[in-house]
Amino acid sequence: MPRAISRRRLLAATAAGLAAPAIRRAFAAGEPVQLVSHRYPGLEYYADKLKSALPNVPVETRLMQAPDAIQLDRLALSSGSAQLDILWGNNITLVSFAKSGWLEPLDDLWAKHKDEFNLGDINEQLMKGCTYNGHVYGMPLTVNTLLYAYRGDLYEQKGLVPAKTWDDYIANAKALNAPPRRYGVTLALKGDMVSNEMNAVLNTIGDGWFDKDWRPTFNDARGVEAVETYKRLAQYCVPGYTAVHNDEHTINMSQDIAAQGQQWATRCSTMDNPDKSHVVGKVKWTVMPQGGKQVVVSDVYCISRFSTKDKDTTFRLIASALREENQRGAAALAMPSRKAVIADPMLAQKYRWYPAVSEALSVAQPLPALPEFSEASELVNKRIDQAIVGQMEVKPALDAAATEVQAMLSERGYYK
Amino acid sequence: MNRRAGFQIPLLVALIVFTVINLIPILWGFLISIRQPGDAFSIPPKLIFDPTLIFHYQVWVERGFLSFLVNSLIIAAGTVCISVPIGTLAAYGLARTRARHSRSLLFGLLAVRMFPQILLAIPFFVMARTLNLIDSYWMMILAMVAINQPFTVWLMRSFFLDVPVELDEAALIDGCNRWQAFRLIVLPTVRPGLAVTALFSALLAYNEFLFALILTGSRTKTLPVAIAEYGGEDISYWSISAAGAIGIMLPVVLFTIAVQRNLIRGLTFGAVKG
Amino acid sequence: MWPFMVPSLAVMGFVLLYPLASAVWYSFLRYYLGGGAPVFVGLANYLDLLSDARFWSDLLTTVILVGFSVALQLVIGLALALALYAAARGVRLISLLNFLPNVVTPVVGAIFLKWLFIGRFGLIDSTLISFDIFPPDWLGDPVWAKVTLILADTWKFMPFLMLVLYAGLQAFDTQLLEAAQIDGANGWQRLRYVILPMMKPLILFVVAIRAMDAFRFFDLVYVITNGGPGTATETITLYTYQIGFRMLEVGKASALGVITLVIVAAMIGGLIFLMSRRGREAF
Repeated sequence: MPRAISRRRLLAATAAGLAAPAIRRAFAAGEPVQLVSHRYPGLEYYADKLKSALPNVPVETRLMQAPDAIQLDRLALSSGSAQLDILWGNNITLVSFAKSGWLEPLDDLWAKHKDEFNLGDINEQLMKGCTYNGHVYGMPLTVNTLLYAYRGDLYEQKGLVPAKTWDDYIANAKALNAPPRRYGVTLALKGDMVSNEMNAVLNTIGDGWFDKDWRPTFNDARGVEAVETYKRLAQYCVPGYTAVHNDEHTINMSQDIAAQGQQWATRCSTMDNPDKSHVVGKVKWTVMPQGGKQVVVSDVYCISRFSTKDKDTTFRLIASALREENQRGAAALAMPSRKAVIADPMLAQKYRWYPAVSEALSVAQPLPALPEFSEASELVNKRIDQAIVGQMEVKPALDAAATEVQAMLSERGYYK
Repeated sequence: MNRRAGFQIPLLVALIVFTVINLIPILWGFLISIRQPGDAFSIPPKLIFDPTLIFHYQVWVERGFLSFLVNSLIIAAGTVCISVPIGTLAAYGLARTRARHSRSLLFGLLAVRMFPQILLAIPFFVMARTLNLIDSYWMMILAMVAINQPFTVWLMRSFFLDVPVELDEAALIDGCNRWQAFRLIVLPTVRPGLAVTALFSALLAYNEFLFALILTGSRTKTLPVAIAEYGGEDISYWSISAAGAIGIMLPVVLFTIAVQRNLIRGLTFGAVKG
Repeated sequence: MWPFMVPSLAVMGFVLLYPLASAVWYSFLRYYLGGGAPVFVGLANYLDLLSDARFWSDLLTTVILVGFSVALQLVIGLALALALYAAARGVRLISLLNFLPNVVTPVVGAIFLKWLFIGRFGLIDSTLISFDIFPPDWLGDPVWAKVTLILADTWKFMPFLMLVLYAGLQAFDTQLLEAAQIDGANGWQRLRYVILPMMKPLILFVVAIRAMDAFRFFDLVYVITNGGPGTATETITLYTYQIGFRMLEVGKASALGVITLVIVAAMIGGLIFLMSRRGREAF
């Protein structure tokens, strides 16, 4: 087939011609360090700080929604691409990427630069969340947890007090439920928010997600009771909650559509911003009932193992962005990771939700550090949604989820 | 049909009412873009408010959407300039061939349209990496051309089928070769069809999200990717994405107006046979 | 005639064949995006999916959504095209304005629609509430959620049908209509016995195109309901995305893609088979 061969040669020539400019560019000097990150105001702030962290080290940042960022990271890293240098992550993506061997261990760099950047000041719990198999893989920027947000004014009117048990929590929701204008509670049960919402109830009424061998415990009798509790709560919830994520949840609170809910600490400042909120000064915060144990997450910067940039410089970039003065500047947008900043009484005065955040952090419980948690939670979240909206009974739904998760995990080499 | 005034007036009123209802989502999006989030999502809906252009200003000036718009336009124009000419050639060939395999080729092309495109994301990414073309206009344009080809070929072929074969034959008898017959005689008659095809190809490339997300980078980021970045995680981002959403529509609307005359004529031309 | 096709085939062979072939090849692999080399597993992914209840229920959901939304947009699109054809003035402006939803970027269009339907602070609910009407649960009720998505898809794609059908009417032989009028046929009879039969091939063509695209219906579902409540609005493509990009099982997702392709091809093939000789020429 002489024609086919010549055609192929033509293609190769075309390809080479098209690729030439890109190849030339790759060898140009001073390629900027590339960051891919999730975007919210706090992370925009740190990305900006990264750009100006070191003179003569240019940084290019791409900030997007978390699922897109994670998807892009996975595509690039699974093919060993050097296009990304600094990756935003959370505790779940960190262990997942670390297990896949995509992240640079930072132990030596951490020890080397500890004094220069006072890294010992970073909260130990958060550092522990950046560890996998005994190695440090990330630097925490922020800490964020879910608070029990409630309308102080409405509670007072009805003579209610913040709930100490889940039954009281439901009773408060019921007492304040006045559809369609206002509902007792707002839940965010879209996609990945399900595991965050459910963490508190599964850890207090239930026995958590997994036992120490990563066998599901969320479907035992107490787990079923936990989900039943949420199902009862959902009767008093703003409708469409399976399509509600953090933003819709925030609007439900700020537009006086819901009287209480689990709210991220990063969302508190919105409640007091008159441009965004109709309930300025009316929302109060405390710890979730029955001892909290609600979710806590941390935004983390990691370094790609495939990065061809100087790792020492990249680490110093991150460490500079995390300096104490930078963290103070971001305090309204997200709770910072340095102990000196968290404990600063000035901040507690300035931001009225800080005392509740500190108290909540002392009882919070992160999602399981299972590298496959995001895959497992895809399976579990769908089933929990089905159970809460009544598409399935709770027990069979959770059992189905447990079976699916076990099958997935044993395929990944667990339970041997 | 019926041209009596007694029929025309209610008809026109009905059409206008429908049009207004149909445009509510866009109008509401526009209103969101000129209000603070507190006003934008209140109950009852607030129609009297202090309009603000702050979000439009942020989008175009502070957050650099202008350069993303330029990127989008480059990619859309590049796609049209490659996809439409080669697709037109192929369509002409297919419309005039009597070869037995042309039909299976046509259906093969159609199959591409039936495959979920998200699954092509990984191979396209691998290809872009191998060719070192990530974050360059070329990869994005090539991918858009490739994905667009089947549709372009199908559409243009239907226009060529409408041109009587006798026209070609007359040209050939007059001493034209195949190329001249195509270039000088047949092509000018399908010009409205070219406008339609160009519009749909441009729209596809201009609006593409997933491929743009993975194949472009900070230098070549397109508008849909930029807008989606503000999709969640702070409610003032909603106003920003509304402002971006209104902005991204303007060039498309202008382009559609520019080709509108050809659009109806082109579709009339090709539509009778599909 | 082949030389005319060379440039197009070359580009497609180079840029489209490789990704398509790889995607099909992946469907025979256990390909986990979290690391480890892909392993050839033959038809295991296909067998897994065919015995997966979620696949079948998603297929049913997809068929329901596609069926109703294509039917609805055909009815509205045809009515609008006839109205435009009958109208004496304003046709250009009205057709342009109604065409706008179709040119809106899909992701953006989905966000616009979410702002309409979202529970209680969306435009529809907040308007109903101010008139003391208790709004339905658009996104949280399994039936209403489907209705919402059908309306959303109709809003986005009806203009395409409107424009093509209107163009088809333009190309119409008006003598036939006049003859029918002289014979005393009323408006409905002219529509039923003259216009519709003439338009049949065109209608089948646009329905085929729309059904093909609607089957891969993704952006709107992803943004507006994300498949919920439960799995009430989970389409095949959304499931493909979940498997591939959330469960990271690229092999299995590709197998689902191939299955989708086969189903859609069979559907379109069936439609073409049902067409008249004249209709067949449309392809």
